[in-house]
Amino acid sequence: MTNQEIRQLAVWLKETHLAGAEIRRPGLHLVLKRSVDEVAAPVQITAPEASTAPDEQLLKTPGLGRFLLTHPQQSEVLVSVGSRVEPGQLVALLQVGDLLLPVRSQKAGRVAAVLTVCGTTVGYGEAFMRLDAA
Amino acid sequence: MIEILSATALATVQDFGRFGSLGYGVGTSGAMDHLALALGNLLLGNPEDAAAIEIPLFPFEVRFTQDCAFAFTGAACEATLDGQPLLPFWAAQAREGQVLSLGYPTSGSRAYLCLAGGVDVPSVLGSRSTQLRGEFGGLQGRALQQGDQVSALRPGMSTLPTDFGVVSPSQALPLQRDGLPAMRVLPAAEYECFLEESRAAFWTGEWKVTTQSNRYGYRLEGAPILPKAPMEVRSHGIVPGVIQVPHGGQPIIQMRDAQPSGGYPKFGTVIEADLWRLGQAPIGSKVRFIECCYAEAVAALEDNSRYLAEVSRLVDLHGLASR
Repeated sequence: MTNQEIRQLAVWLKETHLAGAEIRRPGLHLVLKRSVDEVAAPVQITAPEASTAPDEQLLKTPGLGRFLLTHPQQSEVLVSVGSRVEPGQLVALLQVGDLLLPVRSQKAGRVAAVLTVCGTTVGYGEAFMRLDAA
Repeated sequence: MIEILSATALATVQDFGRFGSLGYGVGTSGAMDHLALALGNLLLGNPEDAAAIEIPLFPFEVRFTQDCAFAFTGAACEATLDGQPLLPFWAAQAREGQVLSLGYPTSGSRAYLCLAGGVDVPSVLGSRSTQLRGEFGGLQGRALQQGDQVSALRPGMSTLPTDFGVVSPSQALPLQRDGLPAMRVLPAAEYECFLEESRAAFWTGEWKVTTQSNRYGYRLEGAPILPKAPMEVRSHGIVPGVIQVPHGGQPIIQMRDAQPSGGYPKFGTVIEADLWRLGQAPIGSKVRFIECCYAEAVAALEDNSRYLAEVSRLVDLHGLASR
């Protein structure tokens, strides 16, 4: 992959408002992340060296899709602010076409804030929920 | 392998149905909601028409006596696997000893429990569906009982992804009229023999699904459908979906366990593409009917196929992405 191609990828990311991209193939591992000010989701915040608030943890979307906090057939949200969350617990859904993919918490904690509105289209790696260690 | 823990009656093994034997007096049987059955199977990588367990009464509980992937579709119930909540129209991996509990539905009336590979019962006359009247097919030709053991054709830990779901057909293919679920109907042989105002009232009125409704047929309650003159017709072939009008004018819609012949005048037929909507209409609920023509009925069936094909494509893509 040439620098030219990487530059083109960066332009596409900017144009489509994606938070980043990761490409992996034999002999190549490319990670592109857009800078913090431009993206709603500050991706560096949980990196160990940049961690200013050790108690604060962000949950990030595992892929692209329509972000849902409620199952379309149910009326209650999966979790809300104040809910206690265990690792592996279902906290949201990503709708891709007719498929519904689970978004499970990687961490334990208490939901401090929901950062993404139900029904918005999200990209990969966007922070959608903040947990407080509890 | 799963063991039925509930004493709940009337859960049966069903696939799409037994076709080609009407001439011998053998009805088709088959799932009351073909789409829910097909979707559950697609989520598991099964053939669309693999056999599953149709559950019309709740609560319902089964224990997995070995590891097995499953999907739960149809009626939206409060479901849990060993106490962990499970979403509607969802595929999951069960481990040996886990208990699946289905509570009362919040929408719809029949749930489907699909197992990896399909439910392993012998195929009789080309189908695994339970023929209750003839007492064959399914598990020993009867409804499931407490303590019954039912096997899956592909038990164990799934090599395909589990833990994902699909948008329900009632949301992907909505059809309502004035706030009520609606089904499209083709006028049938004796349609013209009924009073004009009765025919008009059929399309404009709302129809209640009475307690005398089951897999054999739905008796509806509404403004009576009256004939222009008393009719005597000979018994003739009928299929699921046919709307018969006996004396008194309260219609009966034949469902999947319908007998293959009957002698009441035929008013219309709920189109095959919409029979699943009726299959999910709970007792006591109300429905409406929309008149359609043959071309529209065929187009509706194609819409259903397209929806299933799209889900199948997305499930395959998800399988590739999860590798």
